[in-house]
Amino acid sequence: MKLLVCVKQVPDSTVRVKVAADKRTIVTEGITWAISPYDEYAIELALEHKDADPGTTVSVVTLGPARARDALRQALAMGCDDAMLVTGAGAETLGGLATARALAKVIEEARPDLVLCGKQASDDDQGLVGQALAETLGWPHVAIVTKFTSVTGGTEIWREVEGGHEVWKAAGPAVLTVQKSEKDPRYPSLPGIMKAKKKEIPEKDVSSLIPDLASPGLEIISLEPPPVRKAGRVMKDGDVKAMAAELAKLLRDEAKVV
Amino acid sequence: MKIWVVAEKKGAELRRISKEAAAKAAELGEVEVLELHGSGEQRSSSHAGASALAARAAASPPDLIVVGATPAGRDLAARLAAKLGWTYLSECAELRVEDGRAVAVRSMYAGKVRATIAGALPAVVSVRAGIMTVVDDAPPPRTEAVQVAAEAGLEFVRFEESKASGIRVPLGEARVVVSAGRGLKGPENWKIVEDLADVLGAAIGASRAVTDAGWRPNEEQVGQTGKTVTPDLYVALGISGAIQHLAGMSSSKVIVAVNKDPDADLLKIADYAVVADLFEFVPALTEELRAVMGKA
Amino acid sequence: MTAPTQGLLAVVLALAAAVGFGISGYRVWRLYRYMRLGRDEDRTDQPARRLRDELVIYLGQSKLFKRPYLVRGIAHALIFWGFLVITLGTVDLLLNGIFGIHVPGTETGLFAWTIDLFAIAVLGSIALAVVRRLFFRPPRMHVAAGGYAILALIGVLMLSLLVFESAGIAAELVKKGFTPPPLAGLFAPVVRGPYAEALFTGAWWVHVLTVLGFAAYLPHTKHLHIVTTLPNVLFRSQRPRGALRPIPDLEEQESFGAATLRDLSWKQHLDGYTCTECGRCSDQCPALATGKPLDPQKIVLDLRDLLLREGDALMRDPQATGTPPAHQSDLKPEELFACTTCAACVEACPVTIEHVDKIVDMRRFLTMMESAAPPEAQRALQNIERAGNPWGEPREARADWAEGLGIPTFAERPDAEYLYFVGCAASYDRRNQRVAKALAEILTSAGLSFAILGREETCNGDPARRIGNEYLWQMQAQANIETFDRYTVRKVIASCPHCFNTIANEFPQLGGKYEVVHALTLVDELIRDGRITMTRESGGADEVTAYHDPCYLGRHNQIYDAPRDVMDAVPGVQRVEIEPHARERGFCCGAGGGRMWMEEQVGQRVNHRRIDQLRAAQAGATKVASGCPFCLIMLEEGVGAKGLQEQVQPVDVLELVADRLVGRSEGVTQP
Repeated sequence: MKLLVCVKQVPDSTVRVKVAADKRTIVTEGITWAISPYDEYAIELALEHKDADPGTTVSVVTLGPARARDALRQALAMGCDDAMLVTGAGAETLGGLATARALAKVIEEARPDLVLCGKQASDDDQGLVGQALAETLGWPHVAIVTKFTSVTGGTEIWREVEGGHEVWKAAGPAVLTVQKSEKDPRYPSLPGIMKAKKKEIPEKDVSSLIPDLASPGLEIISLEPPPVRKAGRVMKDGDVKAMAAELAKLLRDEAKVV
Repeated sequence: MKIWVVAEKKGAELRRISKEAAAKAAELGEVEVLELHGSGEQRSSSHAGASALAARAAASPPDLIVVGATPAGRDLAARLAAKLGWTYLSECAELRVEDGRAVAVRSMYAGKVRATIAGALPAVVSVRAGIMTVVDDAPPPRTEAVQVAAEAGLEFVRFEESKASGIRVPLGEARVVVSAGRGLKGPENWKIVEDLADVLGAAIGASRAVTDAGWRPNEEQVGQTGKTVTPDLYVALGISGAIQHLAGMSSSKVIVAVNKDPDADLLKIADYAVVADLFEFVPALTEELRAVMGKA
Repeated sequence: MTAPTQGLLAVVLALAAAVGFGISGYRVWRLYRYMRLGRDEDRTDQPARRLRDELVIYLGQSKLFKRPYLVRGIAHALIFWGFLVITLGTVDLLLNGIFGIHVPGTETGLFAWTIDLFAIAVLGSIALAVVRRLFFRPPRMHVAAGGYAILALIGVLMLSLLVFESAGIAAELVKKGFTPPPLAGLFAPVVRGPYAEALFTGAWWVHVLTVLGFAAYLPHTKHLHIVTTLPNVLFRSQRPRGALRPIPDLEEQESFGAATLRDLSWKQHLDGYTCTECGRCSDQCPALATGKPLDPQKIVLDLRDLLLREGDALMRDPQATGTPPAHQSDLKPEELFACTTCAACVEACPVTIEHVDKIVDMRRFLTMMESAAPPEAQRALQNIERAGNPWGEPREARADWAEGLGIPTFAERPDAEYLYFVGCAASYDRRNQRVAKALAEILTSAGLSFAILGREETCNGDPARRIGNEYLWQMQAQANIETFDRYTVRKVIASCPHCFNTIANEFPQLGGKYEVVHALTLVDELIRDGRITMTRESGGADEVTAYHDPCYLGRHNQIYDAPRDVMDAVPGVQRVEIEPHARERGFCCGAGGGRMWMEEQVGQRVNHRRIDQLRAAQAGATKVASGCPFCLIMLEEGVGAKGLQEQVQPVDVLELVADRLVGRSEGVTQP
């Protein structure tokens, strides 16, 4: 089976994201970048499939600035077979639909059996590209995926819903947006890291894939840090019953939430 | 302005979030509330739902389509926006229309940044629970059915029930969440959490530590790699408040934290912080709330 | 005396010797070749220290006398010295028997007396050993039939020696001119008579043949340690104990850690031959004591057995790799990751086996080649890589603890004399931030010129190295070395023994050489120099405070006294020990070896056991002080889990000092 995973490089989850002076972007100097967490789950799902069926190939693609190469090396180190970087002027600020259209061109050429990606990227938290990819390719898609297996006549795909999972069967190619994999994304082995360093990563210019880079997307009007929560009321050293009674009253009368 | 609201149902009733979406839409213009109906017992895919809506929009296009930002709602909204080629704004905490643009306030970077974003109409938007307050017993809006035909290439096979499913409110759209962490010491101690959640009508959440340890199912995880919740009330029991957890709940309206350790980070950002042994405090609180809420 | 090997008998003896030594020699040769399958390792550095260790540890048997094995240690030492002397006598017997010559000195009265006295001592020790094994066997002693066989053989040797000595005197085959030695002299009259000469001959042959049999048997058993201990001590590691072996040219390697038996060094294989199966290492292991599947003795013996099983196959085919040491049927990854690297095993081993190095080499294979480290450990490693600390807290927040305290960074004060390397724990863990502040106050009060790196500090990689990710350690260490060198740092203070250990003992492996001192050593000096003044808090009795030895301060770096001296100098503190687990016998808190970031799934938690020991010592301690942030966290957790917060308060020794500083103020502004 041929699997293709689309990933995005985002600020690492441990970074204290700060709004820049222009109030429309974040400070990116000196921060650590990483593969977006849901995309890591997508890679892990693909690699688990490869563990079970060694004939599987897993390709990984990203659209972004030059530094996104590091994210691809990380994916290769985890065990993906090959990687491609779609980059160029404007790659960093491309909106969701345009990104999907560009990636769709790469996918059409690569002809994978399934495309996986995280259900949303942890920078914009939008959750559009996966569905948009499917739409552009004219394929079905399944979102909120936690598992998939090959069966006769297609692929069975598990979609997490309230109270359980819906199991869908795709007869042909489909896009999967991934919520979680059962196992944690694997830590690359050192030989994997070393091999990944030497692997070649071809580049494609994004302008060669889509005509209208300047199509209007979303405008960021302003960015702010979330409102600082003021320290609230602290209750301690008291009789437990008395504190409980007081809190119950406060929640009803002051906070008005019960 | 013509606005569609695509509503979700839970059983026979409209979900709360859909009622809130409808109320918000009513603020902005003329509203049609739509319900997707699949064929027979089979579930419809979001793909199929989007196709049905797109077909209806081709006939008479609205300016704005609003969906409640449940996981299913977001899935549908994304495919629909891509299909129509419209502006897409997801998980809006606030929404307004200005100069032919939809303007929304939403969080980015896993809750670390509050962003105000705008995009030209027509637009598809998904809105967060609490976008508008609705009274519980207000009459539900009238809905119109939209028939959905199955899409080729994808068929529904079966539903697998998860072991931990119950009658609880799902985490993603709960107004009240009671969340517990390692302070509970072991999976056998969860009764006090469930009792409190029952009294409050709350969903149950958990810290990553306890879902990783297998004490609670993954669906309950609140945080960076779990769910982001925005309830009116978030009660954290025995959770220290690592940054990854905070990312999942810091936009809750009111936070109550109970912890034995007076230095726990969550206590510092809580609106009401209680330093006590939760095994003593929580049952007492459950009793007091029972009385206060008239549920004795 | 003349040997009863006239004529043909001499030839018979020569043949017997050839057979005995032949069998022995062949076996030794095979074992040698197996050993050489291992990796090269240079163990010829510091020859003077090696010689000294040989004399003190091998000849002097010094490690055998450690408590609680003192009496048993003396018994063994007597057996060993007796063996040395008697071997000389044996050589003489053989030479005499075959060639008719004598080793010079063996015909003197002094020699006869020495032999006699040692024979008595040896027999006594043998008796003690047999009684112990039969009636008082410690649970972890490995005793098989072979053990009794050897004791029996030695017994026969001594008895036959005494018999032929006595008979020789009785038959007047002894050269006249010296007083007969005690036992032989005692028995000589008993055996005087017509059969004396026959008895002499009989006992003589029994003795010599037993010796030859012993020689043949020896290399097929653990008793080979009699011979291999000599090189094993000579070639022991002279690296500082806390320093792990570096992997040079990491980027050029294709394989990491102990993937095959060939990746273990010849010395590590020699360790296997030298294990006497005494079980002292296992006795001291905190993991084993609390029910974990980690048994240091078993690991050493399993590796030895693997080599003996697969040695032939590996020798026949140079391409063969054999079973990876970490995966041999008995050994499981959980065993290897249960180790806290506390080095109690290494400390206890009388023959200087290096258990920790083997475990880390196998961890390196599991972590770097197979990504098989426990998932929580891998997360900690990922956090170090991405955020510069194992908890994944923001890099940007590293210096937050120092906000408002007036502590300069090196950027602000490049000419500061000391760098205070704060470490991840004191930077991010709320409890330990108080210890960092305490140290800063102490240093300021003493008028010391110091600065911190602030946000430029990043994890030095110690947990990565212990978990087995050598690559990550090198990256982190190198990043810090570059920063240190950019500011031309020369002196470093660390309040964490793990930071101290890696910066002092391991950074030099990458070219980073600094004068590194642990905070308590420095504070001890400052107190002696009168640069720190403390006052007693008004009123009240002395606070009884137990001292808990951090493994990386104590066993790894031999710093036992400075923290104690500091405690003794603090007015109002009465120091007590957690006997018998103090100093070299200190019991680990459970956090070392990267275990701070791993779950304990089995048995009692190591830190809980430590709290039990504290209470069992019944020294009346209301506080327990240590000099390590991880010990502090673990002791706090243990006290909390057991509900003892009212009875015992864990603290750092630095806090004891800071609390009583004269002129203590809120700020930490420097001169």
